[in-house]
Amino acid sequence: MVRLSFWAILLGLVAALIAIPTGLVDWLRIKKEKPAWRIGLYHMGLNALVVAIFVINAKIRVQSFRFDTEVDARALTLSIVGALLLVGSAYLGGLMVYDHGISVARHSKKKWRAVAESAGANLPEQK
Amino acid sequence: MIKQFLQGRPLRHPLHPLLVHAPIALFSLSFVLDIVSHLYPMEGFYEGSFYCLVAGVITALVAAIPGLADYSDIRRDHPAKRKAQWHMGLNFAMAGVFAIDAWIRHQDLYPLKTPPLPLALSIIGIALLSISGYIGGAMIYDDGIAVGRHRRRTATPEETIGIALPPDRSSTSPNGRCVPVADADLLHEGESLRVDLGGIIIAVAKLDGQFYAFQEFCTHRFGPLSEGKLENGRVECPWHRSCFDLRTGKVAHGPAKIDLKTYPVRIHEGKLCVDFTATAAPVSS
Repeated sequence: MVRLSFWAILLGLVAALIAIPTGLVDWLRIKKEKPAWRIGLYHMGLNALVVAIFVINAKIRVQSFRFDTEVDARALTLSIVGALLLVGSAYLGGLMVYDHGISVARHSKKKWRAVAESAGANLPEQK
Repeated sequence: MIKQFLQGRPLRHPLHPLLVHAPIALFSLSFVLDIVSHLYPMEGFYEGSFYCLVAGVITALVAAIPGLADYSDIRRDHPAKRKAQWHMGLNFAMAGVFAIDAWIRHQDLYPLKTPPLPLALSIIGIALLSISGYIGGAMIYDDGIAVGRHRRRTATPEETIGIALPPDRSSTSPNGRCVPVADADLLHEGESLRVDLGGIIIAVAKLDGQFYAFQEFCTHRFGPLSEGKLENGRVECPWHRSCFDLRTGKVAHGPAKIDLKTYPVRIHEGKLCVDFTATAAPVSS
């Protein structure tokens, strides 16, 4: 199980690296004066912290994870702190979508415009 | 009350898309361990992969409950209703495949490499999960399901009321074509109806005892105003919080820049009648 959790951390780090550029691109599209911009900033900061925590965590484990039967106390503490921060950060990410509508109807704008148009709605000029 | 909790109102965030991270991560990790067991056959990978599957199935079942609560709120004629049905069906199939997978594995937990049958089941499971997850995402990012839902205090319309327009004949008002759309009693305070008047789609709302009719689609990214928050004589789009004056249709605040079309409403013999020929508000500059 100690070995398993080491591999899980590595998988998590690799997946996080892949997710970072997509998150940055989404964040750069948010206007700075919107409240979601600040939430995005906290989301990003917390995630960077979480990644750092798990990198250190993996470093502590890497020497001995093959033989250990019990998790190193420092590593366990880092995992608990990291997981809690991750939940907090993920919640902020969720707020951006469900409360502020970030990325909502971004790709489907044309589809909904066509629906609204045929339903006789006032529409903005097409860009 | 329970439904409101399951929809995550207190969190301002629906619970289902939050909880699904657990089964997605667990099934993915299980599958990665299967692959690792083939690259570096070693004791423990297969066993670990099994525990991930079991935990994945359990958390998937937990996540299904708030998913159903969200499903029940999608308007019956909304295109996303069908997506939601696919999403649900695929997810049940996926959880079933992984449950069978786990049951086969538990009979012998100690091979060094994942055997072909459980591996094949896991590949099928991951494929189903990917498709279904994509559909779930499309419901949120394309159709805005569950977005801003927590700001609306009352129920959203269950379906669109379809009204065929009378060809030419008559009207209850001298200066326009007034069409009865529903019994006035049907519309409760703070709620709205979604009405399709021969192709023109409008929302009819009741706030502080007054009735208002306006175009269904927000002028920003065309969010559903019949699902918006009604307050202080205004309607707020659930997606990006554009706010419009109910009476005039004017933008109270953006991101929308264009005013709504509004329609006169009156009550005639207990029916809500909408005059769809006249628009009360001009387009602002």
